[in-house]
Amino acid sequence: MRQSIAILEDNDDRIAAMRRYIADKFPFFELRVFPTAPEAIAWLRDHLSHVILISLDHDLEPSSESQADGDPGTGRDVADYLASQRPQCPVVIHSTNVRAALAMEGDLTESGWQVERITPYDDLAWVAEAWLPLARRLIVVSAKAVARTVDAPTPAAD
Amino acid sequence: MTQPTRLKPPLDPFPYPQDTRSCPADGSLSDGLYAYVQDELGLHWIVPDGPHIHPKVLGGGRLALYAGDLTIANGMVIDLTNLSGTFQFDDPDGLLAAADQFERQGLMISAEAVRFFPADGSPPRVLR
Repeated sequence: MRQSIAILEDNDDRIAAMRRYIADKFPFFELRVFPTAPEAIAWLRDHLSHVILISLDHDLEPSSESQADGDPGTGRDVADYLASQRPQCPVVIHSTNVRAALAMEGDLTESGWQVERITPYDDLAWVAEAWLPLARRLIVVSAKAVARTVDAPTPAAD
Repeated sequence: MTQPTRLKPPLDPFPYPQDTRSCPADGSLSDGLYAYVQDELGLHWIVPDGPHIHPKVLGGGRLALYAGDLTIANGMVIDLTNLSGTFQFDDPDGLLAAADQFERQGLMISAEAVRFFPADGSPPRVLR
């Protein structure tokens, strides 16, 4: 099953940079970007088991589309949803709202999720310098656990 | 027994000049994350990793035998992958052959460091 990287982010410039760098580093994975928390949660309900990394912003600005549909929510909403689920993959919190990011981190770690937090800096410089190497490390390290599961002996079929 | 893979062109064919930091990999590399490309003679060249760096490791739009990235920590290769959007090599035997070549060039590779990302997007696997 093809794995996905799921990102909650509403800033077009950040999204463009993340798309570019993920395509360059992880060409075989699907990238899903959600500008609102309800959209992210709705998708995760059906696809969480095939997600290899989640990256969450906190503050989300209402877009013209989301205004029509209501509140875009926040990254905390997605973190709360994830905290109610069995941990599946690493989570990166990328938000300049440090207080809110710490709260998200606390919710998720208490529920057993592996969480890393980075604070954006210097416009988009952090995406290439900090976020992408962190995403790479978390995904590459995950290969170990996946391999053990995949390679574990399975009962012979009757 | 691993077999070398076939030469592959970069998906971005622009003839970028070779990065001035590009050099053959050897056992003296300092800790960090690197992009690597194996040239047509089988030699691994490396550059500190960065966005869209793979076409500049050899430069000139040259073909590659294999490509990916690796992390060195405390003088050891702690992960070695086929991650390259530019070349997208998709054979595990090629990655194992690449690991063998790194060892011939003087790098030490930790156990369970060779991690292969299948082209179908399924979860990555540890090869050795």
